[in-house]
Amino acid sequence: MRPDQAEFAEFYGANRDGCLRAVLANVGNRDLAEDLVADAFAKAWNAWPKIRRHPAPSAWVVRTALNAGVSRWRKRRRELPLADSDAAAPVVVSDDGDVALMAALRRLSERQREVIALRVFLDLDTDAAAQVLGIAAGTVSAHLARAVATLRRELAPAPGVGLERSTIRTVQ
Amino acid sequence: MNDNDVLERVRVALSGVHMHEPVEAIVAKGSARRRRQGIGLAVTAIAIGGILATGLVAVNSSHGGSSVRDTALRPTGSGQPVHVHLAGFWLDSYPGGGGGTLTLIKGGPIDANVLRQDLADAGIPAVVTAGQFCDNHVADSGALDQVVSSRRQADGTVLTTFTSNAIPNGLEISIGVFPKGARFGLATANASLNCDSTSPNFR
Repeated sequence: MRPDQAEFAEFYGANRDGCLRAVLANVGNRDLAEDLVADAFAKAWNAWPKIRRHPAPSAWVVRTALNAGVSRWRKRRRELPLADSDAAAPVVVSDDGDVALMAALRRLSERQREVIALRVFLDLDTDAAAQVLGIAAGTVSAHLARAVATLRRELAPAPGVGLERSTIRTVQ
Repeated sequence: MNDNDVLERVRVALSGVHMHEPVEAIVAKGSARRRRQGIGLAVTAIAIGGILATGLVAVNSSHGGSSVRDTALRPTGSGQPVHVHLAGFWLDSYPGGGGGTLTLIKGGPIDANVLRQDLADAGIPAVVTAGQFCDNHVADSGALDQVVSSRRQADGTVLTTFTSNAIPNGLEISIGVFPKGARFGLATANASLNCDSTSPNFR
């Protein structure tokens, strides 16, 4: 294996799950997320001499995947003018996660989901997330605070009802 | 639930999600994409050749090579952040007239129409032309240094940074896209342009 390919393989191995989770949290569809992330990693390999020097290559992959997702949605929208908006698209998570949580994530704004994904799944700090998104650090903090407040409200158990941990389903 | 509980629940909820595609498949997909881009580049070169030929005829038949501005070149964006990553260039702009970074990728095809639209979307006033460079001889060359700075990186990538809010009133950036590079300048907005299809001696 060539040295650059070995380096890319190491990068892919270390970041593929985090990138997939970040994209899945945004698009809500496992198959679509895998497809988008695979394409984004392929683009990263295609431009690896440059991407390897990016301050946050995994964030580049996630952004590329999400941008491609938007492009696909726009194309599909043109092809199917009667199709409903993305917001109304069904959430398809099969057994890959907490259905209530995924539904709550889908109700966040696109930017709030991006911030959550970068912070939680890629472990970027506020400044790094701000740089990736091209917004101010204070704006990242504001989006995160609003997103967390919304999720807390949506996920809070009804009065007198305990949190049902059994709703968290994971597949190893 | 406190904030950390919420974020932990998000983290745990997807902890069982794994990417199963082997790296060999990713590399193969990227290599196939590179081959397709090579074919696309050849097609683009042929198309640019056609545009150049057409452009030369047009310039020769006009008044000494001067050209009236095409209204389709005018920026139309509202200055929203734009993040475009294509094979030929990356454009990342910032809101509020804070400028942006345009990265030209060595050997990558640059579609002048796409670049023109993306700059317009970013609210960066620019004239983008394929196969020719257009300006109207703005005398203050120092102004360009305030707006545009470029440096070539080790891999040949040219990193060009724009500072939109440094563009003097009444001027806009002019970018001529050639097969081997791009040329930058300033032009007076809403004025006739002089266009030169001679490719600069890119090094």
